[in-house]
Amino acid sequence: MKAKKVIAEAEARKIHYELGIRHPSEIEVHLIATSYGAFVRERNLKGVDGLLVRKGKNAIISVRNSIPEEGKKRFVIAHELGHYFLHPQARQTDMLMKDEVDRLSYLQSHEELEANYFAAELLMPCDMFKLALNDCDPSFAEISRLANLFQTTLSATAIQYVKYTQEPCVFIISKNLGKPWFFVREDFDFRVESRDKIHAYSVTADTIKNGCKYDRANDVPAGVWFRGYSDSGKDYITEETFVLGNSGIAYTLLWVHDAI
Amino acid sequence: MNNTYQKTRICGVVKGLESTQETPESARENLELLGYDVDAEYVSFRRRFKGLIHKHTWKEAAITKNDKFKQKIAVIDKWSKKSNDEINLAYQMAQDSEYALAARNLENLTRAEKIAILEDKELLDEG
Repeated sequence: MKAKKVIAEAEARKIHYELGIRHPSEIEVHLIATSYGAFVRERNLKGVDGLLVRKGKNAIISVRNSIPEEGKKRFVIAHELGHYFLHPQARQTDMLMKDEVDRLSYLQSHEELEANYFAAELLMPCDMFKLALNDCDPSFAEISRLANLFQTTLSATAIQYVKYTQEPCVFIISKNLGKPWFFVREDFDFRVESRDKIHAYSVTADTIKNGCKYDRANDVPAGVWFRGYSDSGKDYITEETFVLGNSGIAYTLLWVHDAI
Repeated sequence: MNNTYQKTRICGVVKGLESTQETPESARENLELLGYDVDAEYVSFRRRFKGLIHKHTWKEAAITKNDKFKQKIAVIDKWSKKSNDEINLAYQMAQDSEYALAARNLENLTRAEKIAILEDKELLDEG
């Protein structure tokens, strides 16, 4: 069964409308949840980030109190709230395993995807997000600014950024240079090459191998990432990489800055 | 204030047709002559008004609800004092009930997570 993205996003927009929310600072996710009968509590959980227990129209959402980032806590609550609204029959109890929210994968069930679509739209509504976009080159600095404004995670914000910016971009997550997960808009003109390993000529590979945390270059051959181009050609794209601590997880942003 | 009068006045105010000189009956008649369904307008107005009020009051109401919920949480702490066997038995019973229907990721739970589920179940049962 395919994830019902439109329905999930519409459900989140309905909440903004019903509560008259018009600014990112008004998106107080725990109060929104309470308003609809889902109480939120922080707990000393060990192996899970979030937990939802439901009975009828009431529910309790627990979030792991040792999650260091406020943005991640908010996303976990919003994700469980997504199950609460979207899957009333299927999920009486749900657990979001530790760091599952960071492990984006093509293998996620449609229910998990729907809960993520809901969470993204609840925390970063399309209309507010588009208004907040600055007219500047795509970068993790800009994505980070938006993540601060909407108090969300960098990865969730990057996906929303790629979705709504006018610039042709790709957001990629990889671990230890293994098979990457990527997000592109439906109207993206290029096809990302499906590889089991990140290409050695990429900025991402270079950054990880050199033990660095960050790098950006605007002369990466398009063939390093895109199908139908040479990896030593002169069609260049911009690649920016950001490595998360010592986890081996790299966030990569590709930007087709010029016609290729 | 009778219901007809209330409906007609609200309808008149909403449509900008209010006249203090008119009786409720004539106001209603005039509105109906102009093509308004007074009863339907009243229902619609009530709904819009309620929605408008909610937009300005939901946050305070949620904070109050939250405070009450926190008071309830403070009372429920019996599970943490129980043995692993007792927790496992209670959890198994909960798993067999409606709380675990089509649940996901419920294998290999730690004691902390089992206690969390049992506590939440109890809180929700209390209503």
